[in-house]
Amino acid sequence: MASDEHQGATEGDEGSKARRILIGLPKIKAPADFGLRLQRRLTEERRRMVRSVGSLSLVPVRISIYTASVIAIVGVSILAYYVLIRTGVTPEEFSSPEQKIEAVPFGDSLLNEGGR
Amino acid sequence: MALFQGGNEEAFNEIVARYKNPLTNFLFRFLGNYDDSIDVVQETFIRVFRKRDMYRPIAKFSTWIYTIASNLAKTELRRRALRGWLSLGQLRAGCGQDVDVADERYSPEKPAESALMEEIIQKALLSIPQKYREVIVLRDIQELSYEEISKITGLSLGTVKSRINRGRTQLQALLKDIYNV
Repeated sequence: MASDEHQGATEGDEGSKARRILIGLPKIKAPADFGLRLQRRLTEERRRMVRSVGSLSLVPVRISIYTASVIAIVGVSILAYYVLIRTGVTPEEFSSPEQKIEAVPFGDSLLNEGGR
Repeated sequence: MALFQGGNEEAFNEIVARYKNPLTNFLFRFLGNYDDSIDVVQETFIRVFRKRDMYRPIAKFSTWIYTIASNLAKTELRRRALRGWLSLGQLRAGCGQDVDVADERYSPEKPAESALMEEIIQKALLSIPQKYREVIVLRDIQELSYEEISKITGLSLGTVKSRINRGRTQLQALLKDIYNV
């Protein structure tokens, strides 16, 4: 390509005969059914464009699903924060099934109260 | 084109009516196969339809549509080259170069002698390098200006003129025995 540069000759005799021959070539035309075939392809193209627009309309739905997921995660996190930390319940206590309940002797307390 | 960009589909039909024959002529001379040329012309109009918003009136519409057609034609030639390369294994040794033969279907009632001459010219055109053929067809067959060809091909004016001259010289050498040019 570089060898082509800076060799801009003008239209001279050289090759002018070839030019005349080429100009004399008959003009090739599109077939008679060209418009019909093009219309068919354009109809397909329009359908394809509608389909692609349709698929684009799914994007907001997809976004809202993701948004809902994020909101749900954030919501659960906030709830967990309030339940576990703000209320003073440690995760160990929350998850421990054995809660220590001080045993109060049922009979003794009644006797004591009655004794008063 | 402005009307078409504004949503007027009749304007698109007008564009098709105006450019289908010049593009068919250009692509047939460049590709050498009528059916392929028609496919590329159709694809060109589909691209125009699809990319109508990308056209800016700062460029001539003819330049824009020829650029699309030319790029698609080059893609088609690359595809052919790839197909040829892939099918090399199937070719027998000694087979000559695969040369596209001019399709005669577009004018069956053409006189035999002029049809033969035309076929010879078309074969000569197809046998010169693609980079020369493209500019020669645009200049000598489509009769576009150097400036337009420069814009379509993305080459400098000097390169366009140089390629045209070299291509013509090669073509003349190929045709001199047959045509006595």
